[in-house]
Amino acid sequence: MSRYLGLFFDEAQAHVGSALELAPRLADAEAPSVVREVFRHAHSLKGLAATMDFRSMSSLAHAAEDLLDAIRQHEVSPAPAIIEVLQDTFASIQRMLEAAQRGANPEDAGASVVLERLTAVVQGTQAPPSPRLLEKPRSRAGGPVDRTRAKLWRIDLTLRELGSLEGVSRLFRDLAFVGTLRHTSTPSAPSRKGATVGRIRVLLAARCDAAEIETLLKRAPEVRSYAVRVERSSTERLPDTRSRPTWIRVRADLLDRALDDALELMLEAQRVAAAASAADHAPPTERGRLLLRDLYAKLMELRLVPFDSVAPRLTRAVHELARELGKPVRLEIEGRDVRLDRSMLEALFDPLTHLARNALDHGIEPQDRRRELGKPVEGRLRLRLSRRGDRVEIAMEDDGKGIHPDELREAAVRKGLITQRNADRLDDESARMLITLPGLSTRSEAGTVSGRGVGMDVVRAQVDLLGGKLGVASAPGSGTRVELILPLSQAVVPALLFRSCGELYAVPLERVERTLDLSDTRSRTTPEEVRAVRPRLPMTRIEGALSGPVDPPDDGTVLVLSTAEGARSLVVDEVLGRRELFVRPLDAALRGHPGFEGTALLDDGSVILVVDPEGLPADPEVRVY
Amino acid sequence: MFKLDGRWCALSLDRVAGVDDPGEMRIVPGAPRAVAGLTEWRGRVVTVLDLAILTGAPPFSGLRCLVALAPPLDGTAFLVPAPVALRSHDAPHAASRNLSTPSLLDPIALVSDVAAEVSRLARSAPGGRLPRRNI
Repeated sequence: MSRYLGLFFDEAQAHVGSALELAPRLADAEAPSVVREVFRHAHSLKGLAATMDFRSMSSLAHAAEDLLDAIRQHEVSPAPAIIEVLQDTFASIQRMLEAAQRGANPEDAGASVVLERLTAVVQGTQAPPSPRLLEKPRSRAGGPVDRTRAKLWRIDLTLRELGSLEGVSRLFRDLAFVGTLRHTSTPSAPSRKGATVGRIRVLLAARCDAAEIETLLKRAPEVRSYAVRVERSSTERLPDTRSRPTWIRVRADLLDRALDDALELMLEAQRVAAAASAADHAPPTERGRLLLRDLYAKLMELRLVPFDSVAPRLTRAVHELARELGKPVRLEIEGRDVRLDRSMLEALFDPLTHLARNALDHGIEPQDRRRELGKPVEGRLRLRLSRRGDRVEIAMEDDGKGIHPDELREAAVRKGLITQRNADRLDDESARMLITLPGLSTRSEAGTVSGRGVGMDVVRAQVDLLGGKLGVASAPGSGTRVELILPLSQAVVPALLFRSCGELYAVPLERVERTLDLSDTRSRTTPEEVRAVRPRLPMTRIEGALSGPVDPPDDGTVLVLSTAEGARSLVVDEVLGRRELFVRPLDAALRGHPGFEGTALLDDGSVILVVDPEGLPADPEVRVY
Repeated sequence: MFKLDGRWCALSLDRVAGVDDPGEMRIVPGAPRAVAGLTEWRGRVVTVLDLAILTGAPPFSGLRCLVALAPPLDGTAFLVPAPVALRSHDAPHAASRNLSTPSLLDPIALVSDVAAEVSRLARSAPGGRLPRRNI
């Protein structure tokens, strides 16, 4: 049994996560389909838990399933209190799963209370359970349904209207409750005789009888007539018209080692090629090099996982915080399919929870206040993920009261973190960044959720560790947006290689707007000619910016680089050309260095520092040409 | 084990990925002083930390060894004075024979110190030059 536990946890977590995420939408306009979907998750959880003999878990899921069924039958209205009980139920199941995964007793302290509440809701609010809930399903002939063997049902439908495809979709989802849809044809054209016919054939593999299918068909107003018959027993090979990827579980550490080996192999191949070329031997084939690169890319791809895999945990955390604070909040997540490095995703979970906690506690106003301000009573928290080249941008945005720079200045001075003089010097944007100082909170009293001045400093430290950047934007009265910009992972990056003060560097090619020869710009004399070839930008020299003043070069090249805040320029001694580099993030000791985003190796083993144009500090010896 | 400023220091073997001669070192502008540089070790770039500076010991001269760290600190190495010895240390046995007990170094704490210093330097960086380093 234990060898199936891993699969059980994966599947159960996916169901409970989806249920938690959908639960707040049970009262929405599109509730019928949401109810069906949450019901399906509860049903699956019940079965999965029972199979693994997690009885309390199965009982809870069963009770939730009953309540959802009552909602589905319009016997119970999905009032906020009902939705809350369901959310608590799924949260309790999730805690049980986490405990079981740790090897602890899969019991949750709150489970019995939740179960009592669920039972009370079902018994107190709901009309007496329908006979369907009490009786076992029976076959058309009156005998018990044989659920041990699946059958392939052929269902021929004639539709009333071709236009009501939405209703047909609903029917398909209902059918998917009782089995697996193997095939659905598209509606045919109306017949010439004028009847509004569209014909659909459905193949459904299910362990049920015809009566159950017919009940669903009768409920669908789009269905004019139907015929249900057994196509064949599912013990035969059933046709599967959909091509689905198959999944296997892989040990993450083995994958990482394979990735390292592939990288080492690739570097070795480059060295062999360089050595062969130097010795005037035939170099290894281009095809071999491409195959290695392809292998490496595929392995890298395996490490990336969609953000969606942690979305349910975040949703649960937000839900629990919102309830603790008595602030109804809707969390919207955009860009769930954005894929990040597995370890980065794990490392990001706590910072994102901190951001949500801050938004809920400090940003989003209490219900009464929001009503007074004419804002929707339900606060909005939006998490947006997007991929930009080799980076991932994550923004957490709330519609709360925003951050008042003066409050932060005052709090920082009061706590002795900065002097009044320095506080007065800060512009509003810099003042908002004070929020990331350790020990700063604008709250006079610490609450159970936040206000102890820990949180944003932890977020910043973690983002630094991941080699990322953090920014805060806010409009008082309207809300706050915290942005994280993170490297996607170690990756092959087209880069421009250059030399500065005798050392080799590279910069991602996508950051290079243009290059200018410094001697050319000096030879020009008229202002028009000068403006035509050289930018009016501060010139930075890497060593000058990071280590101290250096002599300006007599000649060299200016790299005009793009950053989020506009263009900036870098003076370098010599541009060596374009290379494809395998860029690794800086290691734990150097992560957070402002000037560099990673390292790479050349064929001869030379170490290259990859410049981060965003983070490189301004050169104190700056000159505007 | 190795001697630093005349005292035996030790790193637990499960923290060590390998010992090698230090290769050519690439300086990192703006890094704390304890960062000796970057070097290539077994096909990847490792950050080399000078253990003498990191522990406040006087700088050492002469032969040096690179001690590459094991996960989760792979990607980091310590620069230590040669020679490096392998010892199985039995503390009660050593105490009974009046042998000196080596200082067991905690690589995670040492690397964290450097990371914290890098973060501090980065925080002070916007708008101006990085201040002079302390570590």
